[in-house]
Amino acid sequence: MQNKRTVFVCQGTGCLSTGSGAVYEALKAEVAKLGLTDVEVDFTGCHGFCEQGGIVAVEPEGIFYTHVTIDDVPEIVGSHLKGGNPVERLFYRDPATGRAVPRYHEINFYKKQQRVILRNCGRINPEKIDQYISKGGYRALKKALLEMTPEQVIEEVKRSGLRGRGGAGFPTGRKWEFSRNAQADRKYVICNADEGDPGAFMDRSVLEADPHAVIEGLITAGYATGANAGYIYVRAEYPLAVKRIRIALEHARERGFLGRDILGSGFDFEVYIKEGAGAFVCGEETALIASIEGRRGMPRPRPPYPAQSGLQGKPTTINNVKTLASVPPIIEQGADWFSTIGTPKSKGTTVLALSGKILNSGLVEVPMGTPLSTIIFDIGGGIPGGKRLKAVQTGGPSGGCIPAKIPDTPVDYETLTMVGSIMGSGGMVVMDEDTCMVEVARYFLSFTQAESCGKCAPCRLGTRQMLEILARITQGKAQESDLDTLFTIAKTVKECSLCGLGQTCPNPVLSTLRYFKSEYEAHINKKRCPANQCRFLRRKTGKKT
Amino acid sequence: MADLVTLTIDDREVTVPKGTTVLYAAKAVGIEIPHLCYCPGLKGTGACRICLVEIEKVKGLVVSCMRKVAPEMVVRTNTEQIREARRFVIELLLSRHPGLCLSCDKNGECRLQQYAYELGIERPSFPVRDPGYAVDDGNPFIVRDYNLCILCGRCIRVCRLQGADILDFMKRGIETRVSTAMERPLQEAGCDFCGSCVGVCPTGALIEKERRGKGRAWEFEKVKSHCGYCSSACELYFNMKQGEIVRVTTGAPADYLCVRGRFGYGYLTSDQRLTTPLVRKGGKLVPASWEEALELSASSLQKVRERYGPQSVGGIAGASVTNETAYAFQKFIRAGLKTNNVDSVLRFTGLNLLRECEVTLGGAKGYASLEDIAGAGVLLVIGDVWRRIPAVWGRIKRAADKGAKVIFLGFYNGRPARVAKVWLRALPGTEHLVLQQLAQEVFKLTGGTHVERLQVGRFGTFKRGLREAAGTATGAAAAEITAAAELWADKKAKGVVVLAADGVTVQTGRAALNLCLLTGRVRNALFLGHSLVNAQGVWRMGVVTETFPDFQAVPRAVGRFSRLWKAELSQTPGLTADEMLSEDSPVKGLYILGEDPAVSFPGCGRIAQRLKKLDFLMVQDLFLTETAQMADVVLPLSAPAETGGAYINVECKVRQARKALPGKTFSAVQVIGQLMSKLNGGLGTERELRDEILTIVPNYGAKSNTAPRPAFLPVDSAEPEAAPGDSLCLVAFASKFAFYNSSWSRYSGLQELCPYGGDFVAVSSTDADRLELAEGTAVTVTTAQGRVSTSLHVDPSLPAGVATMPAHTAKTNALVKPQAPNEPVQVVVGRGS
Repeated sequence: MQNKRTVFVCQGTGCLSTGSGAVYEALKAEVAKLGLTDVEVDFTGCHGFCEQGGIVAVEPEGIFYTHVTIDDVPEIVGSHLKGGNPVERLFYRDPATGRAVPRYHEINFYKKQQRVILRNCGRINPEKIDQYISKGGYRALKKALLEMTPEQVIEEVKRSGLRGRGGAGFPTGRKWEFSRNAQADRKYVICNADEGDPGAFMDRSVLEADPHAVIEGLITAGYATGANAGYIYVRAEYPLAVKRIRIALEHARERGFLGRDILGSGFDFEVYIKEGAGAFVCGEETALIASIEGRRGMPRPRPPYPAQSGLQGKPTTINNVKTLASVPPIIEQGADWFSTIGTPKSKGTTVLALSGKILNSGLVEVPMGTPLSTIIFDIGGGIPGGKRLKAVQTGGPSGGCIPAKIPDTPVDYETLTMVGSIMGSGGMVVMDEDTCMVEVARYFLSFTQAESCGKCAPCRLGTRQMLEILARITQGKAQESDLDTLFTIAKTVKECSLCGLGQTCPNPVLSTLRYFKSEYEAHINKKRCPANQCRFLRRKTGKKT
Repeated sequence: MADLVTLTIDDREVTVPKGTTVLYAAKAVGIEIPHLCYCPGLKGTGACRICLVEIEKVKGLVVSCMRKVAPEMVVRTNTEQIREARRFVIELLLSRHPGLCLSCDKNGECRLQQYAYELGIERPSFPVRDPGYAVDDGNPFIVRDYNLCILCGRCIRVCRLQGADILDFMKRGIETRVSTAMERPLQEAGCDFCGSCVGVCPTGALIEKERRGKGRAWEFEKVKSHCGYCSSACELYFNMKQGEIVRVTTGAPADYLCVRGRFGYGYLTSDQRLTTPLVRKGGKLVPASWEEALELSASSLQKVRERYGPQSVGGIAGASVTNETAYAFQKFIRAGLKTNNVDSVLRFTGLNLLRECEVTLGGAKGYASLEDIAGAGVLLVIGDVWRRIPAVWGRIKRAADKGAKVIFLGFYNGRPARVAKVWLRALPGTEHLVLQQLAQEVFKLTGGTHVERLQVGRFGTFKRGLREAAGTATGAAAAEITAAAELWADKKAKGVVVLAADGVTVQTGRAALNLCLLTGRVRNALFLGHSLVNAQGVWRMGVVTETFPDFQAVPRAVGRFSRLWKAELSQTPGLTADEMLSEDSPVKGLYILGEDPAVSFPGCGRIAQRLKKLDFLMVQDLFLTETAQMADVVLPLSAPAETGGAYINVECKVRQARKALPGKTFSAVQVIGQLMSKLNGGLGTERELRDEILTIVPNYGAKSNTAPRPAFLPVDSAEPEAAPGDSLCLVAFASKFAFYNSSWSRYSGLQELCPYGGDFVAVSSTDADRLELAEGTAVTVTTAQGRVSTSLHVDPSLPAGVATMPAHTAKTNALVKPQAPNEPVQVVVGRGS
């Protein structure tokens, strides 16, 4: 008798937007109609390869269908599940070779990744706790709660070298230790799921595809720091993530992973969801705390750091979704294992949202220190249309542009900062020769300018002045002296702003000025846009468009 | 010492207490670090980035207004880099500050202007853009021009700290601005008009409406004075230009003044003020000379006395006058007219409670102060005290922010209910029963240990009362009472009861005092507020029938005062104000000073009828009040701010007011002196009078020589009568804006802020629906005392079954019980006028 097979239909936000909800229902109906008792139809969260959605995977064979629509359902069921002949026209096609690739692990996009944070994404049903447990879920929590002291947990995380995946890269173990050592009657841990960078969706994907991993990490953080309450601060624009967290919390509570006396350890912990209203600045920890407290999300100067005085003035630890999802494997497999991944200073893996002028856009998880070129060409499949790579923008709107002339730049905290960008939350926008770098700077700045909370003058007004100058440049109305002014404002805004938003938002300007100054000069002096993108400066090609 | 920190600022060594900010540490050695968003008295926020400094071994520039000092810190406050950063920020702010300093009212006191000057910014580096916001001047007192706003957020923070908490930033980025919710006008947004926001605004964005075009700060002379409205007697500064009040400011920018203190000075400057005596001729009041008016007054009173005897004349005074005036007044009545028929408004505003508390707490030192409230750990706030003495609200809020647990006892879902940890929503008239039930629970938790240690008397009676009160339905849930008891029983927490002597029933006041005694809180545990500024002083000066100055009893002290005053005095006990004004009183000649009984006394309609029957009525007041219009002689009264003088404020502290404003007329003391000399003597000079007072009443009675005599006060714990059917119960509820003296509210523009100009009856939404009455409907309000027409106001903060009318108004006073104006009365509200 043939082993039982499972058809996993991706029900992540990306695939759902291609109609995979209907595909899922149709598959169930079709399988039932044909009476295939050895086939189970189930769903997963995001596979990360959203470019190819809707995605349907058949396990344990590992067959991977792409671009599936409701019309393909009868053929998948009839030909493959009943007849044993996989549907080749739905296989992934390697853009380089044009060859059809039937299986998941044979696809370059997946082959070169190392998935720690995304370990279960696309592999389990996020609404079924048993599937998470069957993949080893909650073993780390048992180990931490029953075999380790909080201090030992912190020590393990410290030794692992795990650093904050929200962007700043502060060592997680040390953060926990600060909170542990703070004296207070109450403490809190918060999962920061206020993913605000345009084009970044790794936190959403993790929460949609593997919410228990985050919850397990959060409980562990609570145990380590001595907090009995945790918040997940998640954008209200992520309704599916919110729904799945809610289900996961309920299941975890039923199984005794949450609530009083967890697993008989004597440790109590409860998790609350706080839905954010979608302000970019609320990803900043002090603004996030203000928002949870019911006030307008605006940052305040640190110190005091949240570890001393955070939510309701109590010691509070705030970790990013990916940081928390990294915790269970560290506890379970040990710091030694984790620290073998990555570079001496940046341990573990990083999840990048690859987008822009690239063939395989999607979520990519690679060891820290992986060169840009590997990510762009080997995993990302290179630039479409045979165009040349011009720059890579990392770290979201507060990041910087890394020029193509340094393609071997390893992706880790130190190097990215050194070249004028940041790791940030992991956005990675690939730009080809048709991209105008001045326009890029203007675009990102228009975002941060609009998202400035308005509290401090440099950020609120300085970004506006920069934006006005950049607009003048792209319109061919700027003067040579504007460049100096732009540079001065950018530097001063970076120096004088209150929070991370203002301190990093000049990065797109500063890094493009550093690597692409000639483009700025061409706009100003020759009234010419070298990429021929700026509307006001477009070269006449003879043809009217 | 462990609590001191030594650091270096600009190469100078500074030692300051731990927890000091770098900004303050610098100030301590005379280094002024510029700052815009930071404001003394408010928490730092770190927004403006002007106070940036460099600290060795700290990355980047640091805001000195929030960074705390640390040992061996090395700070630089004025390097080239810092100056550049500051200049950059100011230039950026100027890019969105389209105002023209040349014509700005704030010119000369604008901090933005000052720093632009100090940093040598001669021309804007960035193009100046006008945000183009509409200027809001749709209210009587505050103009908001957010085009000039630099978003420092001071107004938001001060509004949160001590105001209505109605402001916040809205929108993001360049569009960020300060606003009320949904951009509603201040009045609709629930603004208190305390004007704290105006006080802290560093630019021309928020200014007093009245001061516009009246000059710049350097032209003003700031004259220190005290607010003459409620018993808090807050310190304030009249900003004068050429003898005219241009605005009112505070000592420090974030000091609290309520709307009356900050904006309500119109009664002082009004052109309706009386300046000439009036005498009735041919049925009409016509101007007369002082000599004529005084002569007529003295002789008329004298004649009445001669004809009908000493009980036929008398005097009634308000409690907004100074100690000197009060003393002179009662001396004139007692020694001049030789009768003890002298009384004051206190008769209707908590006199009994004042007396009982004074004895129990041992005098002036026993009361809690505003600072005691701010520093409390647990607060029991009763009734509408926060409206009668608005200054308490800021202190309650401060305490709550610092973690104090607030218990609120009252039916109104207002601000205290919202900050309260426990809200005891008693039905009107059952407050004392709730307190008794609370005491019972506290007693269960604490036992009588405190009581025994302090030897508090009448414990047995007290305990019996508690048993009687048990189980009576009050509207407050048992669980809430238990929760409140746990808070109040915490003996480590500094506990303060906050109430207004004139805003509660005697029973409630006693029960509250008992609650203090039960937990051993005798000293500084009772904040006994009063609506009128000098209630404590007028009482101590002897303007109550039963006691001479310094609480010397009549007739026991008659001999002593005869000797002191070298005058023959009446041995007959006098009549109280309500006795003098009663139907069958023997009084035929009356002198009323600074009081308007035809409006502000309970049962005012009947009182007005009675006043008409007098042979001779003489009224001395600021305005031609309702009562004055009935008088035979009207004398102008000077305001305390025009004469100077002493008050005893709510904390029982002497407030020595200076002569702050030019006089509009003779001082009250001079006038009374003239009257006195027309009878049989004089008062001497004002200085002699003050010396005399201080000899008889050391420190105006604000010094306590008596030990507390803590004894439980009897509380009537009988179940209140059940209300028949669907009648409502009417409560006189203090207005947020208007004031006891209705003429003051009227001439200061305060009444404009009240719904329907303060002429309304408020009911809950439930009752409005049930009675099928909509907002604004003309209604008649009927009680056993009377019937009035007014407008209906639907107030969702009221519980079903309760109606309120603004306290102290003529209409309300026509409906309440004359003997107990704070007791709720059954009322019928119906359509029609």
